[in-house]
Amino acid sequence: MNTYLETPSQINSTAPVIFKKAIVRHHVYRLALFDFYQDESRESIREEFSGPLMKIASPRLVDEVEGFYQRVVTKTRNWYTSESKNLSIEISKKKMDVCFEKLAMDLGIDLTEGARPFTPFGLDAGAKAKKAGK
Amino acid sequence: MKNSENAKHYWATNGTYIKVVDLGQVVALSKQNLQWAAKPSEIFLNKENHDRIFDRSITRYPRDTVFVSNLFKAEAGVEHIS
Repeated sequence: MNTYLETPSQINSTAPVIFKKAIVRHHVYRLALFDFYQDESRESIREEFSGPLMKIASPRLVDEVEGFYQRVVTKTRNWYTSESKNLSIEISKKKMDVCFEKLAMDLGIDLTEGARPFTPFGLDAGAKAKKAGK
Repeated sequence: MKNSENAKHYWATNGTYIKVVDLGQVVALSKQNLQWAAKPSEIFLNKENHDRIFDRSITRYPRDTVFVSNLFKAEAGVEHIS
């Protein structure tokens, strides 16, 4: 994310300040995580990176994640800047939750019933189904 | 474990390249507990918090553990892999 925030379109905006907030970052991380579980076009990514544990971040995976950030960072920045009256007031947790839930819907991410880790709808369940020939 | 300061001593447990604090963060994120993911010291505040994150799902879903760890390294960038 830091790399993306340093691009010309973001560095001179409010984005670096907004995304310095841990809670904002983790909202975006969650969207990325769920998107990587639910987007059908990411099947090969899920397959490739659920086997070996990487010592450092994979450049390919970083590129994929940055592609996702391009879809959410500007939207989040614009919403946050407007809602906080150009960063002059703090935004409540509730407002932030609502904003990111809406963003998830816009992105086609299901935060309640879709595929997600550490549940029967995660990668291990899919792997077992494949092994069983389902 | 009393707090996340102690967790730091379990760095890259058994050569897995996963720090205990980072694992707690990704599991909290996966369980949509964003407050704890953003402030992982909360996970290690007491046994109850710890056990809500480090439950049996971690060993039950090993592929999820690997994938979310790899993804988190890519998401968070250098701040988490240095």
